[in-house]
Amino acid sequence: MPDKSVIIGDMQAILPMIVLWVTASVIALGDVSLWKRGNKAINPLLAIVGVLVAFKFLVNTPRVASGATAFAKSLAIDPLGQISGIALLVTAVLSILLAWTYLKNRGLDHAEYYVLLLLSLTGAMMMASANDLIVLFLGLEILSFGLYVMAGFARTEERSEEASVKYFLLGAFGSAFLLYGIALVYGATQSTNLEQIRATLSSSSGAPGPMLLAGIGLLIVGLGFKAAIVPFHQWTPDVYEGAPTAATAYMAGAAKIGAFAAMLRVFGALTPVAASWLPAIQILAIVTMVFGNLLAVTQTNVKRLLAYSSIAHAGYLLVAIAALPSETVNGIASNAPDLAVGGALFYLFAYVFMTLGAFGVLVYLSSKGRDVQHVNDLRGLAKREPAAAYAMMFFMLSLGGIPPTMGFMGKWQIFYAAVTGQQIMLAIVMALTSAMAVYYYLRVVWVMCFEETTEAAAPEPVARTGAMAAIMLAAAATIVFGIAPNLLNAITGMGP
Amino acid sequence: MIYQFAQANLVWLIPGLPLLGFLFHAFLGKRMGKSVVGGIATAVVFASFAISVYVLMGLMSHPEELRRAQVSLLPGSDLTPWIEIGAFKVNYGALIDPLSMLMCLIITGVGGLIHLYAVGYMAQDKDFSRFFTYLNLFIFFMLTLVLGDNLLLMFVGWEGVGLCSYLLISFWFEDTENSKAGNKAFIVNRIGDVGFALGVMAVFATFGTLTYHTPQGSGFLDLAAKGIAPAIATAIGLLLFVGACGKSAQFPLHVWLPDAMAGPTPVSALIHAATMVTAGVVMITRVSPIIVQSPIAMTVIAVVGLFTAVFAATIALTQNDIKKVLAYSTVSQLGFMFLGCGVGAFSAGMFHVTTHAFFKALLFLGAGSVIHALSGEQDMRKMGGLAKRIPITYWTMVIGWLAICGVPPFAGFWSKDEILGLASGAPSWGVVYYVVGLATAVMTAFYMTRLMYKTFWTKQRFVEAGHDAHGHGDHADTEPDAGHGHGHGVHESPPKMWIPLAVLAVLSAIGGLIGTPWANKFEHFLEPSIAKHEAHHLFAPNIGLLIGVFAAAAGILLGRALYSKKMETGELLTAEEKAKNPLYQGSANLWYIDGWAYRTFVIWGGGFATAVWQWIDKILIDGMVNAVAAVIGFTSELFRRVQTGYIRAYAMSMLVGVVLVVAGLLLGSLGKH
Amino acid sequence: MSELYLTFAVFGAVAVGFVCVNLFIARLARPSAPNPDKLETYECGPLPVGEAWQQFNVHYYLFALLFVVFEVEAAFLYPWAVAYKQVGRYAVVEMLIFVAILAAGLGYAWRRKAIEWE
Repeated sequence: MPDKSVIIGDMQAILPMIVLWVTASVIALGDVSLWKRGNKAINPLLAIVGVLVAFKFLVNTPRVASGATAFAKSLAIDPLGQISGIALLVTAVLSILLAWTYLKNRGLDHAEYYVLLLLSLTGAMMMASANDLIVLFLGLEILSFGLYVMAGFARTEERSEEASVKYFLLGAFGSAFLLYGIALVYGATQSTNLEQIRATLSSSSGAPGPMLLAGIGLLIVGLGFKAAIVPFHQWTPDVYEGAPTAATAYMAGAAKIGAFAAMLRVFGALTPVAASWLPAIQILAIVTMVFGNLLAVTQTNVKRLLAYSSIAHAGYLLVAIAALPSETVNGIASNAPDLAVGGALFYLFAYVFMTLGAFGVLVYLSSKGRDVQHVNDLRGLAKREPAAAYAMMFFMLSLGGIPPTMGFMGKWQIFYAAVTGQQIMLAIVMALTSAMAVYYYLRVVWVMCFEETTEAAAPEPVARTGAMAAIMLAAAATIVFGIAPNLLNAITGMGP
Repeated sequence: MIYQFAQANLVWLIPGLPLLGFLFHAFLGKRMGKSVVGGIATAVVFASFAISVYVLMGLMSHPEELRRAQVSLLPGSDLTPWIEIGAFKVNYGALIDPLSMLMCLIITGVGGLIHLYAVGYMAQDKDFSRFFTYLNLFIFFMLTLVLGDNLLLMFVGWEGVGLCSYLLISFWFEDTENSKAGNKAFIVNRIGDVGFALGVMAVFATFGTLTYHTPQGSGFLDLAAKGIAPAIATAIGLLLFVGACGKSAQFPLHVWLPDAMAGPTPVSALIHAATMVTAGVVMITRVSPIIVQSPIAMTVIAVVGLFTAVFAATIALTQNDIKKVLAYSTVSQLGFMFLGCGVGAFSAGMFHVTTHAFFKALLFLGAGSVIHALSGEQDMRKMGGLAKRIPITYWTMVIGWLAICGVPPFAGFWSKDEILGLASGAPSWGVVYYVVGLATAVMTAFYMTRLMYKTFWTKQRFVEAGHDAHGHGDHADTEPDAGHGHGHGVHESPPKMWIPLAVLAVLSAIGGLIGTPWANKFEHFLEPSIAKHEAHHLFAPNIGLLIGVFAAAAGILLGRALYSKKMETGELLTAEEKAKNPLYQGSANLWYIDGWAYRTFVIWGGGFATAVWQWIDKILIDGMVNAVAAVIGFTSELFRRVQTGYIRAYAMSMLVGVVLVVAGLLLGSLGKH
Repeated sequence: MSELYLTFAVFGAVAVGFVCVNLFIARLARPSAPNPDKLETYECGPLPVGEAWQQFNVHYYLFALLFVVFEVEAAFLYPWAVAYKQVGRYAVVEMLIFVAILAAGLGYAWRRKAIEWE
């Protein structure tokens, strides 16, 4: 029987996840018994309260330190886990606000949505703190199951169903590769614990064997699928387009954060054999940046455009991963790994705010009769809905990496990490592809501001407060943290 | 070296007030009356001007070597780090020195006058408050650009003014052409921005900081002054110069500026003549301690500047749109400024920035007044005879004309002469610089004289009572209470518009006297901000001045000689002559000279200008831009087909990816061992 | 490493061999009486009718899912019960939480009428 203090410590480490799970259970059971599906507003309210309580516990987690662990070293209690957890909770708050509006306006207002959201959020948080490949896999599956169902939540719509099935089948495919990779890495290192793997790899001399290499390759594939990296990206546009917009927003944020937090950990642990996998990451990063941006250019559906943009952003984040192993540069100790982790985390925050904000604008405009997702639906928006249009403009400028927005700061940090880590080629590709990206982001701005509205009148949305609140929060964050990035560092405790 | 002084505590207000103005207009502008919006927009800029003057007085009360202060731009705080990533630290701070204060004065002073003018010019526009929202935001970003104590802050301002420029060029976006011009400006500028961004990276990689100067002498300019490898100086200098080329419209990135004239005329005056386009010159001057250590970068800057100057001048010779002439003239004058920088005459370059701000703003505003008077007409072939009809505009324009032609003692004469004189003494190619520059000066005088003839002096060619001449000018129509023609025919502009003209005319007339070669107060003033670099005159300054006078006179007299014979039409050639027979039948007495000038300036020059415009501008450069866009669109369309929608195809592509990644890893390790 | 695989190979050989040997012995022992009825699909006695590819009521899946849940529960409960004395109070609490989680799921399914057949 373990020591009492150890038990308490372990429980404190997962307290935020417990809170989320309890909230989900309360909503699920309460909805079928206590409030009998009568009062619908109570579900999102409870969900938000749950997330905020989890936030409080997460921020106050005792003994957070780099290298600290819980549950027999299977869970890390470190700043990386904590900060990506904060990003996930922020994502959750914004997506609950969006869902509140979207589900109500689209007639999909069921409590199960919030239950699934909170449960998959638990999985994402577990993934972000996983110090063991098995725990990582568990977290990933818990995250994914929720997402599969949420993608098909508009179950009377064919596109939504299609999205769900596609996501599920390909997701299962991806998970299988990941699991296979974990098995092979275990075979090569006799452990699934990341700390242990790193220790084994750095003590062993000689070239890594084929089993380890194949295992690493499959890990890249499995995590790359979740993160939407080319060529494992093809589900992204279809699923993003088909899923209910509020679910797309959540998916875009949570899956990306979970996947990249996990990647930062896994590839951090694989640093001793970086020479063997770094070229693969470099090539994937370049391919992802180029194709993501290239394919976004011709999109006319905003959700698909944002899907390709999310692929492109995954490419930028891969640049940070590539800078991760540069622990020494020309024989001198370098701070490139810290910069890469810090840059990636900042970028994830930026990504969440601008992407959820952009989806939020679509949510804000959708009503029962009309699901807004085509570029033409935005024509003349600046006149019809100036607040939403200007917010959208900020999100687009931020996605395009134009100062003074958060997107620029994030890109700058990753760029800086890449240059410090001697990944000059990647930095150059990043700069060039970002310049290309400006074109399609500005087109959205153009359509909103400079073209006349063409659409027929549609029923007014029933409720919009939640979405407006989310948009304004995201817009404020995009600007404020874009002008004063240190503020975010101060709030989350990241940075130097 | 660095000195803290009391007045510097107010510096945050200089950009802060326009920012407040921007926020006010953005949130409340639509609910306020036009007089409130216009009043506040103008007042904040003039208030910034007053504070700039006050701060400058504080700065000047200290001995020369102490005239440099680093202060926070956040009120009531010490220098606080704005961004901190590892060793990378950037402050949100301002560098107060003669260079930044000079630019503050120009931006807020000339900017304030243009705001005042715009209140009259835009009076009838339905988007009045939106216009001033953008204009105040522009002033804020421009001040951030020049005041920031580090390159990153300059970059932020740089992008910000680019954004405002984009928004203002396409201000009348109902017309697609205007929106396209805005996009063109934005996209071409992004090309320059890549260079600038890489330059910033290079600076950081070399020095480990982006701050210009610190009290401890650890700023990158402090470090660079101690000497750096020429190769590094060349790399940094050229990368930053690429950025400067974009913003300051140097060949081949100049293509956006003439199109940018689609914006309202006050915008052309403020952004595309007086302030934003000179940002490149300011930036190069700011990093002069690095530039002077690279002879290659210096030569490139000088040659590009010189080429742009002569190239743009030849185009200006044949344009018929009054704003296009001024736009190409701006490109040409910017080329002069870079020529100055390239030969190490940074303060001469900045001097030209200053005088150019006066006279080019004046000319643009004057042109705006002419356009206003003719209810929107911009084509000089449909003008003429306006001298008596709009006398205030006319006389102020005359001063602007004399200033840009380089007639003493007007402003342009002194600064242009300073640049040419110092260019002549450049260690290599000095004579070439001088001769070509002088030729450009002659051309400048000629095409400006042509403009004056066509607009003011030749016989009237427009149709009176211009209800039918509306169109574009609907936006900029007359004020109903101006007491003049109410849009019926030609009328002088209201006082809100001619007072700025008058003030700028005075500045254009006497503003150059601060930098005469006998007592160059201006150069002395800027000394603390600029790298020491030996620049010589080829000959005594007085001789240079004399040659300059002759050049201006040659251009003007040539124009007079040609156009005084054509007072009826204002055209040197009839349409058929232009089309058919290039030989011009002039008066018998001046046939020889006329013919020579005709061949030189009209046929060859015109042909060259047209060819340059048609082939290089329209086809080669625009074509390259279009080709890149087309290739991206095509490739995107191609790969879009891969996205079939079938799960089996996606699974297949994943599998191929898996095989490639795993095989790559395995083969990669085989290759290594 | 290699002796691990050896064990594995021996285990596999024994498993396959066991089946083969038994079938072989059965063949030796049983009488041989071929009959066409013996080649029919065996479906609890009655003859199968129609195609096997048909739609099932979606409720089958719900039942199957709930069944799997409780099967997993049993799979955990059994070793826990066996080792109950060694693992002590800590494990009792853990198991109670585990059962409570599953019970909550069952409760939800029940209230949503997932286990009522219509």
